Amino acid sequence: MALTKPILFEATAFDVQDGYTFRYNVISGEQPTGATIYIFNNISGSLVYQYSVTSFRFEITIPSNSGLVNGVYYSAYITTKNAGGDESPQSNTIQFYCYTNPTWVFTNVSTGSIVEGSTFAPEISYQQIEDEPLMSYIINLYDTEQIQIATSGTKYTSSTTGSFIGSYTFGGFEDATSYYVKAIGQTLGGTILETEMILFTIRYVSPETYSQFIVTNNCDGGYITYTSNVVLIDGKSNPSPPTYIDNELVDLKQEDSWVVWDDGFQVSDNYTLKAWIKNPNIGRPLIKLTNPNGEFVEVYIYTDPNDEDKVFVELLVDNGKYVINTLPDSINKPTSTDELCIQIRCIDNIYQILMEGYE
Amino acid sequence: MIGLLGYNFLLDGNSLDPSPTTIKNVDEVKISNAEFDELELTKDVLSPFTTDMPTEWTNDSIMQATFQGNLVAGNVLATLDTLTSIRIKRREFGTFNWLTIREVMVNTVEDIIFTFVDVTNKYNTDYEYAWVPVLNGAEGEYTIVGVHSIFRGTFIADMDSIYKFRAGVAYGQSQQVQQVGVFSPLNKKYPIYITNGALNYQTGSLSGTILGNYENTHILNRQEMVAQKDALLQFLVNKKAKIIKDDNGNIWMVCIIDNPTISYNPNWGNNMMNVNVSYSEVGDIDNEDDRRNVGFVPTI
Repeated sequence: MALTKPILFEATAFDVQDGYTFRYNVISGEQPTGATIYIFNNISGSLVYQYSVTSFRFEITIPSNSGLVNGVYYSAYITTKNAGGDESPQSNTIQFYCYTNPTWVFTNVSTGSIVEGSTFAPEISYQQIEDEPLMSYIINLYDTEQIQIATSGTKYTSSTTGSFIGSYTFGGFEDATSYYVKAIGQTLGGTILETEMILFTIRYVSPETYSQFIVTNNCDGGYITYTSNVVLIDGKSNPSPPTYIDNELVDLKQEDSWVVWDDGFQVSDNYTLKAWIKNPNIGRPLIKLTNPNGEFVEVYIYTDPNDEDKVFVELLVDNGKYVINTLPDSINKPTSTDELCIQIRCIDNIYQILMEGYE
Repeated sequence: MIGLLGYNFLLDGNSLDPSPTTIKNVDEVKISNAEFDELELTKDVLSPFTTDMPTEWTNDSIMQATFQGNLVAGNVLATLDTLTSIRIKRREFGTFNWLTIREVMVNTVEDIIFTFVDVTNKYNTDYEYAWVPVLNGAEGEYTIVGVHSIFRGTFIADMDSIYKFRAGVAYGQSQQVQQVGVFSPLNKKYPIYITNGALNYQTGSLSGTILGNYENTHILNRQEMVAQKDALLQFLVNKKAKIIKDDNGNIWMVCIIDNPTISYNPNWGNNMMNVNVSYSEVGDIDNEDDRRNVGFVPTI
């Protein structure tokens, strides 16, 4: 009885750093005691890798230092051998890609996230540096029993690059209830991608009074949800530490002295900013709000050119296209003991600046 | 000059107003060139303008800096420099001892915003939860909130999942296990019982009917029930310690012993299934060491 032609199964794309296990099958014939895989560059046809194993298992695992290169299209076949060293006929030839492992993560939800709303669209990001496209993905929603309660179904991407952002909107979330979400993707080369199960909690009924922590009993679910509402924002300053006046005010009148907060918050919607100040440096920037694009809103106080005893406040909105000055009425020049309250209000694309002095 | 574009009529008071524009996603605030008493950034755009300073953090607050010897603009005095982790502790109202039920390592400001599910709560019990800042093992000030724990049904849970038995719930015979040795001396009529072992724990079994999503849909969906059965079996054999609790006030911290079994009811086309598990206590739910030993105090 001789060795028969082995059947080499299709291989999915894999990262050469991970190695890969090729599987095959043999029907009838003599018992193989090992196999050799021959891997060729599918473009040039040159043999780039050859690897033999001695095993009764119908598989060949190539190691991570095989010399294969990510981003290259390969073909391969195997032969088996028996205890006497006889070699079988070549198997069928398969083709496969090697690709660097892509990143596959949710961008708008992470373990412990709080989602405000009865609907939510988890967003999944796929990035692959050799431009292997994502073929399809599924986003599944689970309850706290980790039993699937909703699914996006299979979404085909028609993507042609190694970058893709996908999402699916789930509705009907209950307030103060926790859920899990998970995304499963498949690349064009057949690689299966899975995120971890990401736990998040829905909260769309805000308590009337603010609490740094919200602890909610879920009677039906049999658990208690603990949500941390703590906001940690610490400023940086020059000089550091800055000069405090009676532990009540911070003195930033000196040239090049400032305080900046740039971590722990983001203003994504309309807002009001108020500052209570004393002894402003006339004609110098007092408050500056900046976004990641470098666009900014800045506040100045100037002496009224028509009346030296009066000052006015100016708001500069600079997004690279427009520079807008809002000039409300002047007020009496504050004395050294007077305090000024300045308010910037942004509603959609309209800005309002107000200032009032008081003793 | 948007008046020329018909935005409003020429010559009215606002015809020379500049075009509307906006700066989105502000993530940096810088102040300089004055003495600053207080700074507030809020989502509230409806309140009328006043010179009154804010007195407390609200649901709309984004930043509040008071400059009382620090530059903190959040709602706690802690900063990343003064935090290595956050401990969440719990105790029954009226008792003294706190149990650490979660520890969260803090490396970035995002780490401090989190939510988790506590499945180790007992029926009809008042709890206090404490948020405790920790710097290199030293605990800071406790901030405490209370909650009343109540639920309906019988649950089996681990740190990641909680499953509710909704029908056919039954406990099997339970045992309180102790270790008793018997010494039979040759010259005595009665044996000597030796009870110097400390073993003292319960074993038992629990069974219940799988109903799928019947509680919400009031439909017995066979595919859902099979999927739920498969998920439940994987949950039961995942080698993690479990909590079994009910609305009679029972609560046990257990591990699943023996093989979970499924029995099918032929009168319902085999779609009604009862699952049965045997369990053995592995610790006291109110003992922190026991909870740590079985992984019920995770650090994330």
